[in-house]
Amino acid sequence: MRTLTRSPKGDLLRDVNQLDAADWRPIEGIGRLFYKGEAHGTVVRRIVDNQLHSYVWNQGTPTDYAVFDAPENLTVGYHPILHEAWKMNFVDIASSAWQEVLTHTVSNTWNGRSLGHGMKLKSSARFEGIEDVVTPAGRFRCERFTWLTPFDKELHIWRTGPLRILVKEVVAKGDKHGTTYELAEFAEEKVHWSAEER
Amino acid sequence: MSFSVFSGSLQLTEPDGRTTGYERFLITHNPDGSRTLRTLTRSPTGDLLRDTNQLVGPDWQAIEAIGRLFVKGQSHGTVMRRIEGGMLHSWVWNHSTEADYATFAAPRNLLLGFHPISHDAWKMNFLDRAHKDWQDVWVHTVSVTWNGSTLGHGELRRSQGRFEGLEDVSVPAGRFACERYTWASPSGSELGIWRTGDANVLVKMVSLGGARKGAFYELADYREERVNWRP
Repeated sequence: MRTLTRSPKGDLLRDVNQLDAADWRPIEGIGRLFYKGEAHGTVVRRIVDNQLHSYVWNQGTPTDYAVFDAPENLTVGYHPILHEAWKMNFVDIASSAWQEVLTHTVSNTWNGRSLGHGMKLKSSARFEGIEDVVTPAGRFRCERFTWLTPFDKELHIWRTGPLRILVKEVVAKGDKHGTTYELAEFAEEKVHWSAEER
Repeated sequence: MSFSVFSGSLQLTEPDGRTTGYERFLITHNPDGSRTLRTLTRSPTGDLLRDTNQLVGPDWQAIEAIGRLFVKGQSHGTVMRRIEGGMLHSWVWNHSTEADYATFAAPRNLLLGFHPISHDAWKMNFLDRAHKDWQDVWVHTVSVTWNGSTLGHGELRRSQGRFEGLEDVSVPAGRFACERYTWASPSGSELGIWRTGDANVLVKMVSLGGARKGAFYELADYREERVNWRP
């Protein structure tokens, strides 16, 4: 997943690239942040053998390196909205019970306006069912979730397809209540290669 | 304070006339004056997928870069690079074992090469446009193959480029006022390069010799957005 995020006021620019394995376990992630006109650096993360290796690069200073535990249900958080759909990756959709969501974030702020080694945050979410959702990008068959975030918000999340693309997110309770994110445009392209073409 | 976003795609036309989509790019001119180039490249046969992200300072000096490669259905891992205190720090990671770490000298004006075509316009960043003499182009590449089908610590390679002048160029994305360069690349091919604007966006690149003579890359679609913020 590659995202480029700007805040509505234009004071935040966030650049994220995250690689997950076929089973959705995070492999690596990169996040870079500019806030109020200043570069806040880059955080690079790799998960190897249940350990999260974290590199904080602030321009002009040496790399700061740290290692943290990485349990099997850990997601790596950099704060792009698109990734909220992937925060639900380890929520069992065979159940509608509340389940743990474990995220190692880069910023303990609700909108990710700082960048560092971060910390683990526990929250909970549940699968709500299948719904069709209409957005400016079209109509999508979605999985719906409710997420009680670490920042005392209740978010409603709809995602679609094998890539688990976020179609819609509504702030149902908490600060910024009523805010809605929707898929504005969407394109798919499939590229085929067969080993016979070697 | 503001930043700008430049995005689009490049298409490849082969010497036999076949055209395919080749590379998507997104460049930001960041709030602090630095610039970031992000690319997603596929080969015409679909056997290569390359993902890069490169940050350069307001003076175009390389700061950091990341490249990830998939070839013939297999992950070839990720290379992360950072320039700090005149040294290039390089981490090669195949996604399972510990990262392999190495350092190299990083002279001023060094370019970090990850093989996206969009970055070939940036390979010309340190050429003096006050004259048309050949000048050195120094690239620390991740792969010594012509199309970047491997990924590793790579090596420093010297080549030459020169500024040819200003030209208007028409491509599928429109007509652009361009700087034109010729690059005698390390792979032995001579390339004609046209780039435009504040982000040095590649508008066109033509293979002028070698096995792929006549192949060319063109800007297929393009858009710009400016975002303003006032404290």
